[in-house]
Amino acid sequence: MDTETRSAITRKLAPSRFYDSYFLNEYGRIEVSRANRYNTSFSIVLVDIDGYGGTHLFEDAQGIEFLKKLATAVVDTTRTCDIAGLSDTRRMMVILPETDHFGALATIRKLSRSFGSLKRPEDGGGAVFSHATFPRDGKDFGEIVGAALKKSFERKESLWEKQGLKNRLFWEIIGELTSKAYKGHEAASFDAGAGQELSEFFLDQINELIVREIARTPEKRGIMYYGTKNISASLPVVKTLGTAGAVSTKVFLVGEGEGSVWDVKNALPLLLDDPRLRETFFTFFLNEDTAYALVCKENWGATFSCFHTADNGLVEGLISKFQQEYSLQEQLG
Amino acid sequence: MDRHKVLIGLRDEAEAASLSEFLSGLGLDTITVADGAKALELAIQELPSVIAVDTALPVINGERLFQILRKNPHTSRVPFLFISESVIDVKGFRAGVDIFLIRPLNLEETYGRIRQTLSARGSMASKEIEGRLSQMSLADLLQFLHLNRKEGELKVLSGDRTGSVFIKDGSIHNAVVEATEREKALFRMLQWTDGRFEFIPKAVTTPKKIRASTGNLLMEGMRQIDELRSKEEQFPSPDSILKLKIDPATLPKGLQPIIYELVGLVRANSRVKDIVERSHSTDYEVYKAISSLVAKGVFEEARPAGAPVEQEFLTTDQMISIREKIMGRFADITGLNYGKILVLATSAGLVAEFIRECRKIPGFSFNAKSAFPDISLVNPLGEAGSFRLYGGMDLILYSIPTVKSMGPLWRSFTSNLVGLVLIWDEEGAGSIKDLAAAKRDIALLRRVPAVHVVKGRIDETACARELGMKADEHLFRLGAKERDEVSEVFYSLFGNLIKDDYAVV
Repeated sequence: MDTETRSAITRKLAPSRFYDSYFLNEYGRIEVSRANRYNTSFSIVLVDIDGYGGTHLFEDAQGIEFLKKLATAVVDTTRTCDIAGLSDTRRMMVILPETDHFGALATIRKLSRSFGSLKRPEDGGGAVFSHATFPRDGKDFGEIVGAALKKSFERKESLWEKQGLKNRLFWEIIGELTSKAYKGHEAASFDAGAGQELSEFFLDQINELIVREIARTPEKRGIMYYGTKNISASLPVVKTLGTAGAVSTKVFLVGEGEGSVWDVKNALPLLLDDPRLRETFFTFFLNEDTAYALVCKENWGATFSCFHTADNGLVEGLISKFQQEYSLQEQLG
Repeated sequence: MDRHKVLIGLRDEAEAASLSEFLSGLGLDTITVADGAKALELAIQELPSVIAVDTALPVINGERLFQILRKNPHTSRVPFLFISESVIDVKGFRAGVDIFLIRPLNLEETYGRIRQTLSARGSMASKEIEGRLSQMSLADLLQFLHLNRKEGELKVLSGDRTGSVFIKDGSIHNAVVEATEREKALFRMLQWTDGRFEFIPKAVTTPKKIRASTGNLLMEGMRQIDELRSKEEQFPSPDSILKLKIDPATLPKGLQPIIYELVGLVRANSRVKDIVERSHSTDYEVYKAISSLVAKGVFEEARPAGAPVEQEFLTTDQMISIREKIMGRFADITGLNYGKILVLATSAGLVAEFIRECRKIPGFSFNAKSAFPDISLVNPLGEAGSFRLYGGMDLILYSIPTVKSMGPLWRSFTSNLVGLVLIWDEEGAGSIKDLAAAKRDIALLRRVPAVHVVKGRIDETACARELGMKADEHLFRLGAKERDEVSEVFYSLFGNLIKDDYAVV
């Protein structure tokens, strides 16, 4: 489809504030100059529309109608200063001025919620979101878009999308992750505990590693959930957090505990009396550079079936599910 | 101590009642109002500790109430907790003081956030006593708090060290300095002569870990400090290396517990200062016991005290070049204070041996508080030590097990990576493939220079091919008699790092 036709359709999708790819690229370049000049950041969000129609959505009236709904939802959800448009036949882009990594994540959550409430065509019509931020992901607009496309590809390859985990409940996902054997550099399973190559202590070491990572870069925002049977001041994680200075990462300790746990330094206890936490414990950690999740299920004889991953989409998805199902504040840092 | 009062102004009566009930159950006093005008009246009249309001409160909305009360000098410091359906921009919102929560509310999280704000405010506002250690020594201060039967936390800051003493009914419950606690921490703090202190009255809930009475404790602390100073010359130097001369199984039963503890520590650590750091006993007791065990031939002091001061490992110019190179690699300003060198090996024993060799390099500081205690030597994970570069930047030596199932760890924790050390030997020849896979995977994520360290006889050509060794990746021998060999590993790594080839992440 030639550019002229696409521009014309783009104009039809939303009467105002929805632009074509030429405008988006030009605006993006100007935004890079502006962010450079004033030493600020900006982000872009890509929305890839998957699973509906043929190679592009302009083939039939129903497709255009669906696209129109999405375009309206994007325009309605974003701020008036944000620039949204169609950057490809199946891809929308939103340029978010003065927005950092976490602001872009918040926008993705809003867009995702807004898309979720739309009536979808029968054969799918799911959206995959990705983002990139200037200057951390690139120094010119092309690099920023490249970084966002790379993330989009990674997101589509993520277990979260591939296994359709987003449509399942938090504890169902946890059960699935700890019961299958995963082999790979992105996600892997391993056994720990009595008689295993890795001791139970190794699991504490991983948690301690995360806390030290948090303490070493106290200015860096992020989020960590540490779910365990009992929250107490004697947990290695709590002790290490106690010896660190003030940190920007939000650390939440989830589990049963007593009144005294409210005084834990650098962490917020979330008292949760859930029998499933007695046999399964987890750690989710997410910041701008790092995504890591560890889930361990205790078996008979003090052995643990563990799953861990560096898959950004999966870690983010697990955190979102946990926050939604336990009515926690939806935050990622 | 006064109970904190929370003023709750929410549109939904049921939500206000459940929040009020929950907070009351946790020891907070609550006042509930249904509109902004009443909230304004009671905020001025009752002066609550926190005001929790709906952003869409009737009559005067939450944001307007906030603007009004912020302008009133009596209420300007009261933290606000905003509760809303969606994110809104509240003008004048004070990050770190005010809280913004979106519905649905999790009551525990709400309480936790209120509590955090109250304790942060408490630490700023309710210091009962503060001053300098040069004006009043810590021992005098502790006696004063003891006589007045005070309860709270005494914070002491001296240089870059901070410590806390927890006091209840005037008696000392515990003392904490970084990862050290009990008497050991207290006696260290008693030696600080310069710095600031502040006493924050609050309920102490930490368990009582110090049993002795305050008077006896201070007398004993001062005695130990005097003894440590007077016998400093007789005790082993902190940098001395200790070796175990006997089989630990031959030690008779019934000796003092500190002896078994020190024997165990010497098996995993060799430097005196590391052993002192890790022991649970006080510094004086550890030095005294080590000295006596050296005299009895249980330990051998391998390097005598007063050894000549060693040359710096890197010159200032070299350090500046490395630092500039690292700074150029990372656009993120917060990542500038350190770089990581990842150590990967075919076996955990090789990592431990390499770290031991590194400890011979001047300026290398072994991290005694790292995740490298004795047990973890089986699968070393985390920070092992560091070099401090000019300008306060650290180069951290970091280890992650090489088994394939640990892939997510090296993917996640290799941010700020500046170099790779790969160690292999004949025994681990079967794991070379795993090592090569790890190297390839890391190289895909970050472009960093690598060096290879081998131990024993091994078909180097075949292994080098398997590992995809490039022309600039040099090979060194572990356990070579020349002591500079391990330094050469780092010279090679840093030499490559400052080349233009590795300019981009």
